[in-house]
Amino acid sequence: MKQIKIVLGVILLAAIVLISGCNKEFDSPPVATLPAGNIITIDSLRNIYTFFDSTFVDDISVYGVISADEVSGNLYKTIYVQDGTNAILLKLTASSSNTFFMGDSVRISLKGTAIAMFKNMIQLDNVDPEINLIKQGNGSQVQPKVVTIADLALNGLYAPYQAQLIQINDVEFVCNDVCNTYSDAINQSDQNRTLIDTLGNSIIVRTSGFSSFAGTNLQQGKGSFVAVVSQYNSTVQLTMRQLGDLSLTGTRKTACASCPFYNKNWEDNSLISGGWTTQNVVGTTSWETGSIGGIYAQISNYNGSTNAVSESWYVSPSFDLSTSVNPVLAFRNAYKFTGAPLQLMVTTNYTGDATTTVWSDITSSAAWSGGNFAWVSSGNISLSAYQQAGVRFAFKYIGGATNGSTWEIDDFTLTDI
Amino acid sequence: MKSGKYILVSSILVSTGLFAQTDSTSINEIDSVFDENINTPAFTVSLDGIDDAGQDQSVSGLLQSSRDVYTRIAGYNFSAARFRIRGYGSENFTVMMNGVTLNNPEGGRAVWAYWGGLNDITRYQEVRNGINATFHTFGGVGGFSNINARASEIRKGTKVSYALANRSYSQRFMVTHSTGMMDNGVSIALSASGRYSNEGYVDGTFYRGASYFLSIEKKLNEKHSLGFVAYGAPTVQGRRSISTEEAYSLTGNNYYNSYWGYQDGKKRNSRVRNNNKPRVMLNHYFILNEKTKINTSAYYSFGKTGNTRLNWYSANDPRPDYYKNLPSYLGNPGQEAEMEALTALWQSNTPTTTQVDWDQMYFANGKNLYTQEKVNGSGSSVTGNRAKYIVENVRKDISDYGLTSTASHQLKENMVLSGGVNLSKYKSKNFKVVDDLLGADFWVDIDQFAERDFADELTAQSDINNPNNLVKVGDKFGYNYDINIDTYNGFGQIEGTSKKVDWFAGFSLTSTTFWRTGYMQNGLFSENSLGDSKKNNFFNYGIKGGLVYKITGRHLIRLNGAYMTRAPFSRTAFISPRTRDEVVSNLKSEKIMSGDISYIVRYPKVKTRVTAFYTTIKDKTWSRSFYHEDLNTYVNYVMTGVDELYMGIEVGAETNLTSELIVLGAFSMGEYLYDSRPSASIVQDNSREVFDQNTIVYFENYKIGGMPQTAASIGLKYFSAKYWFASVNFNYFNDIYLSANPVRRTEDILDKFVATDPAVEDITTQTKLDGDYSITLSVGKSWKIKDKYNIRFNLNVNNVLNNTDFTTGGYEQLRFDRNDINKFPPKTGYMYGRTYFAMVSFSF
Repeated sequence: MKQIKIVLGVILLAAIVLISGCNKEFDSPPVATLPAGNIITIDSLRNIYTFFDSTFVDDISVYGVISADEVSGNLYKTIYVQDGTNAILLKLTASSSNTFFMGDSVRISLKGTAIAMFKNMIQLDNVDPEINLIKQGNGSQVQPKVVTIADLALNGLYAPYQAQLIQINDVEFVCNDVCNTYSDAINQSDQNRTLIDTLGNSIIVRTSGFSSFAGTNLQQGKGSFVAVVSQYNSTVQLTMRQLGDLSLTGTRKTACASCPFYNKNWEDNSLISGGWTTQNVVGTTSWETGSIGGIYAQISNYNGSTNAVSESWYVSPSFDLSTSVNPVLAFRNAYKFTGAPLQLMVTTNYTGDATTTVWSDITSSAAWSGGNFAWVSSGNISLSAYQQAGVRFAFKYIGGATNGSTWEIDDFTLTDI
Repeated sequence: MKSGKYILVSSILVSTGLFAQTDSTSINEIDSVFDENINTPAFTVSLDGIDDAGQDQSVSGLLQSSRDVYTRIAGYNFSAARFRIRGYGSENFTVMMNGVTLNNPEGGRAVWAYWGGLNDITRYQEVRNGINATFHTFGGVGGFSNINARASEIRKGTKVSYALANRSYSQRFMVTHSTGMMDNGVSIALSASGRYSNEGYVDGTFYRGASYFLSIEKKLNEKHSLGFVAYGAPTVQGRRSISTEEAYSLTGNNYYNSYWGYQDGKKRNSRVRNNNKPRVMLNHYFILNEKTKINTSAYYSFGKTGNTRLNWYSANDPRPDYYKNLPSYLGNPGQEAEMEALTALWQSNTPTTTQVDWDQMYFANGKNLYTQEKVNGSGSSVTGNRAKYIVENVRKDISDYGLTSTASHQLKENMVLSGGVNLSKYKSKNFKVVDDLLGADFWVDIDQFAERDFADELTAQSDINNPNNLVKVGDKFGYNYDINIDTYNGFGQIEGTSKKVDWFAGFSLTSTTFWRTGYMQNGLFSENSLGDSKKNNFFNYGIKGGLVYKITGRHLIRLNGAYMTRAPFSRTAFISPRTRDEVVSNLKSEKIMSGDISYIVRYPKVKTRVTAFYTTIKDKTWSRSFYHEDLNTYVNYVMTGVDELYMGIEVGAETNLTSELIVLGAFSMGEYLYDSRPSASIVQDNSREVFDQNTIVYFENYKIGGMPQTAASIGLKYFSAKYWFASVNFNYFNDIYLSANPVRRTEDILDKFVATDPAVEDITTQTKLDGDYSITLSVGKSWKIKDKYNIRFNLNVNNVLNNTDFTTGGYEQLRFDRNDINKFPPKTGYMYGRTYFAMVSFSF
């Protein structure tokens, strides 16, 4: 028995040794290596630009962390990459909004890309995210450098901190802009807003109309602002990454007039958006939108040859003014051609039908156009008598058989002043 | 610009919907749940109740009562972990009935399900592991088993049994009767069984199977006996999916099944398998004289396999676990709210999210009024609801007949010469039919991808001789072709015994011819889709030998060796048989070399075997297909020149501690790996473009995935003198690797990376799964009544501790994104939790 065990043991041991000894390396396809000299910093990369675009033909790489991505839509086919030395804008040949994100560390393979300048902004052009960007990891956020607006002032050809992520403290949007949105989401056009610091230095924040926050109201207080420094010719501007980078919530240095808490400007070309309704009580003359010099609501009983007898209502959504301190209504109006004046009505008890609702006529509280399509602001119409819920306004249009005006209404706002 | 071309490939693959990446070879089982590597234990047990556990269709039989201790333990205790003896695929294991080979010639595997439920009959089989001497066949390097269906040799008596289980079926009833040889020289054996479950272990699976077996034998005289055997096992089964870790963890269910959904409040499975492949045999048993016996069998097998699945046109992928339907698809910044909402739907197991949404498909089909012009190539038009979604039935109907004759002759007292011939003519008819239009009026038989890409509308037609074919339930569409395989084999063997040495030597010669016959002229492949393809001929040979050296009667050394060539299987040879008859370029025979050495100890109280084995299979052709959602077609990966190495040791030991208590153990440690750099090609069903051709796959030393390469079991078995027994085994498994995607190991895929990029390792490293263990238990008791009746009770419990976290295998998806390798994570499967099989039988 002992002999057997020994023999068995020896065979077993031999076999195990044989097999474990054969634990061979996995095969691997040949992969290029990157010699140390072929890695450069972003600062060196920027310095390669010498007034002529040049395309890289060698296997040179740059490592960095993505400091601004395309997720919010404020950048399109563009990202910013930063390392310990500097930062640069990358112009991509395809969108990376689903593949590369802020905090991703990447290797940029420069072969095939070009170092270039556009309107004094140095950039790496022709970057194919599929070929030239190689992810190394994620979660390494770039810390913004704290600077002042004065630090960003143009000094020579290039803005200081160009392409870098910066933070400025104690800034607020100027009163002229503060009631605006970040950009024009409706027309998807880029907009500039001006930031100002406590010393009175100001800088432009330029935001794409395609960004996800284009239609969002600006933060109205004072505080810190994180953005990437960009440049357009001799204009230094800030490019936001996302709303979360802003903290303009403190007390302003310069107080501004209140912003409207409701604003209908018809720029979306819709009569009914926001809950507005129309009602033809007499005739078929209808409210519609007009678009000469901006979009507005309008009505006319003239069909090109005759006037139609009409009574048409344009009723606002319901507003709750119960918490307002001093609510006022303002709108702009214009008219032409002889006819009954447009009436401004208000109710706190709308039945859903203009004809059965008890309305108060506040036409006389507003300033009205002198005709010939001259736009006039109604002025602030006090609503202190209506500080309750369920307040609706209506424009009542009357057209006659032989006459009738064309009325235009725009910028209908409610503000708590 | 090779790399340029490759980018195209990768970008296509990157945007690919992996449907079911399966061995394309099993064209008929295209959406086979598990990858071949984890689906097909080469060699596992056919104990009552395990015969069709889970989805294993291709389980070869191995009787528990095999004399070899290792095989017995491994067969029973290791099968749940998808262990394969010596790592071999089941094509290396020959399964026979009355000497007729049952392995399917298209892929080489024997499909146990075709005779499932006939356990009372199939238990009578001779099983040999590894290279062996046998009269019946030359055999594969894995071994062989031969089911003895001869009526006169089936034990006389009647047995009725009823079983309860919670695996694929929940109830089984079986009755078997054998007359033994009656006075008139006639023997009759009959067996019938029914297996049923409304829902199996996995949600949405069901099982309905009936099996029948008849064997009649008539002894004509002392020299001649004639036999007739017929059997079949029509089975309908709802299938289960294999999914990603994300789907398992979201649903909190490691047996999550994406295939079913509610329709009118009832669970309906979109993947139903319907098998019915009966076989009849005529046998002639001829005892020429005392020294010579000749057995001859003629057989015919026919019937169908149907597998249903969803198909869709110009609609979203309806599979709930398709990657775009999972929360991780919304993992990018800015999508947090959507992701959270979808995650909540998954975590609450909302059926319209986590399961197939049948109602939605009916709704979509009912709103798709469409006018098809030039219907069937005519000038007429038909207006109706065109199906966006259908259930199609992927069919493989076979017709297989042949003749086998074997003879043995006692040359001397201690020397036997044997040999035989096998002739087989096999044909499978491969096509799809519409199974359910889901409320629509018709399906248009065109290829939607080709339709998009080619101006000539004929190119999109599945059959240009019947363009714009509107198909309805039962109509064939898509493709229709036959695979024909003619096999002629002859083998011979001599074996002898002496006091010190037993030995044998054998040879085999095989001619294989296979070809495709197309019945549709595909618009894209009008030149090579219709009619007969060229005939592919292969001539193969094999030699084997072995000897046992008896040191003493109790100590033996056994040595076996074999070398053989094997024709490539038609399943892998045709690169895209659904649309054309092109075969892999440079198609070669496989070369198989195998040897093993064993030390065997046989004492009454101690039985031990230690074996070391070494096998290489060279020049294998490998292919896989997967459904590409964006291309609406199958993409086929083909590798040629695949060399595989299987080496390792097996140890089995058994000791009687007392007359009632036995300790037994089995241990296997192997290295099963790829041993070459194959070349890969990629084609898609509906494009003439070859995406990549003869790209080197750096596959050397990658592990053959999907099975434990190390397994161990130790057990105790107690036999009471009072007719009961109990046994318990502790089993351990390790060295399980995911099946590797070859394209991830090519140079072009890494062309933009440098060695330090983390992606290089992420893409190329083969994942090793964690080792784990299980406990198996069996108890049994029998009662004898009046010396005539026997009542037996048996209970087998697998995974007693209900470990539901044991990943037994999986595969890397063929679809991948080299920039984000986790976008298409591997698909993995878990060992079932606690399952049982309890049977009571009554025999007399």
